[in-house]
Amino acid sequence: MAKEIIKVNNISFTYKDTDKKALNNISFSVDRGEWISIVGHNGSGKSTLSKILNGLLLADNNNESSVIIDGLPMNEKNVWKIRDKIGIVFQNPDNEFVGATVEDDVAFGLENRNVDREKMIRIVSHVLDEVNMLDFKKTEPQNLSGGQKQRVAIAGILAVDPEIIILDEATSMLDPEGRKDVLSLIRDLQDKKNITVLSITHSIEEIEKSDRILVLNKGKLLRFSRPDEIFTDQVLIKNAGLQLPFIYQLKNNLREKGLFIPSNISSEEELVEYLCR
Amino acid sequence: MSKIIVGRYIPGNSIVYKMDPRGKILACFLFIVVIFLANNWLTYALITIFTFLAVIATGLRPKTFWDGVRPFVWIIFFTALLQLFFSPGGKIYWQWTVFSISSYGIVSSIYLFIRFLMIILISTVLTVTTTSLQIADGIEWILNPLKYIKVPVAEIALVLSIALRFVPTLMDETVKIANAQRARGADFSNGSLIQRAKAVIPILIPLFTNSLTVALDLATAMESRGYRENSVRSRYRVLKWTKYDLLNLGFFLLLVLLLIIFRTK
Repeated sequence: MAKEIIKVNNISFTYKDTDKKALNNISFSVDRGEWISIVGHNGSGKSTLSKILNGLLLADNNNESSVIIDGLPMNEKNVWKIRDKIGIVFQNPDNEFVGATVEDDVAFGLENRNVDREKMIRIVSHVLDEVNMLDFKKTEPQNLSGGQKQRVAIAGILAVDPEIIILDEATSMLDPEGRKDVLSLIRDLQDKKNITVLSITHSIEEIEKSDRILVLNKGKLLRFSRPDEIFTDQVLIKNAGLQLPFIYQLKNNLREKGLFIPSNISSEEELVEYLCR
Repeated sequence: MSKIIVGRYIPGNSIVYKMDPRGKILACFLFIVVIFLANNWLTYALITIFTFLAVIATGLRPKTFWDGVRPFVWIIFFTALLQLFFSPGGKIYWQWTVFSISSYGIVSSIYLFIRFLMIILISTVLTVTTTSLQIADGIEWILNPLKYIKVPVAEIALVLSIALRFVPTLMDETVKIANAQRARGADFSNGSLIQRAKAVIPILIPLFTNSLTVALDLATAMESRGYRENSVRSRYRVLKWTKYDLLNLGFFLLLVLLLIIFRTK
């Protein structure tokens, strides 16, 4: 098992009807088990990037560019094997529900992989139990709340046992409660199975808790590093249009008032402790 | 809209619900064919008894079935009246220019009335006791032999089940759009026919673009979940024949036999 699970080398992407590049010479790599947040303005190329990773879009033809997922280079031949390794949860849960009931939808990915029926029944019950939706097995999608639909979508992805989960603004349409639920669910699963998570998001709490942050701006990769490095870089924050998490806002405000706060303080407890001293 | 009972499923737990949709669809379809075997009082009585047994077996309230028949009442009466006035033959009781009431006309209009009513009742029995998904699965099974003449049955089945899955979603969407347009002052229930037709445009166009967006999103989601055209897929939902289907089809076969025996040559 290689440590590096995603390796993107110098890719660009141009949509057919424009000359502007949606992605411009992007290179990065992700280790297995990391939680990566992908952030940037609307139209900065985040969704395009996620579609390139599972082969829904192909990067512009370029000799030096390559996308390698878990050792497999992206090409016509490998694309289905790569899709087996990547599960995407999309933004609008209403539009991604294929089955007429919860269990049908969860089984859809398994049906596509021609899994034996007996095995499917076991897997469907198991993953629905994992996302806490077993009671809704026979329910139709219109009778579910948005958060429940996203849970079902996650179950459908877990059913095929992926290495990488991409959340394409999967929580943006949920209320704070639903968002918290879905995120903690994925965090648990990530710990249990060492899944790599790439999350496209605007939610500041989520960004703050990720291992690394990939900042995109107008198709360019601005920075790819840890949250504390990103949130202390004022220029970067301004360019990327990011919001600061509460703790960094507070630190800045205190600093403006003339109070010195060391830059290595990055959690609420640490700040409380420092201020009390 | 909510008054139309045909095509609506009412949850229940009687024998008819436990039957396999394939058997129910076949029996319902063939019933409409064999009903034309009946040509005397005895055979019509048999058909009526069979139908009412089916209705009773559903265990639903009679009102449900009345709701099913009601939208067709005018058609039934209209055709029965036509039959009554325009079929001379036998003893003629009353005549005025082209209109006449004859013994033949009376009998055949009653036959027609029974035939119509029984067909509607049996179709209602099918639709209220079978979910649209089960019907889609049943139709897929019935279409299955068409595979040999290169009809893409699996794809048709997928299209059918996706279409059924999106009916309620699009209904909700329509209501939402209509309300949003009402909030901006659109009026859907007043004015001339042309004005009302024009008022539908602000609903139809967003609905149309929305359904295209949904289709694109769904296609992306399906593809990223590993759906490939023309590949071998397994099935999660399978239909199973049970002893209730033996009852259903056996009973139906009995009806056909009796009809053939007792019909006048």
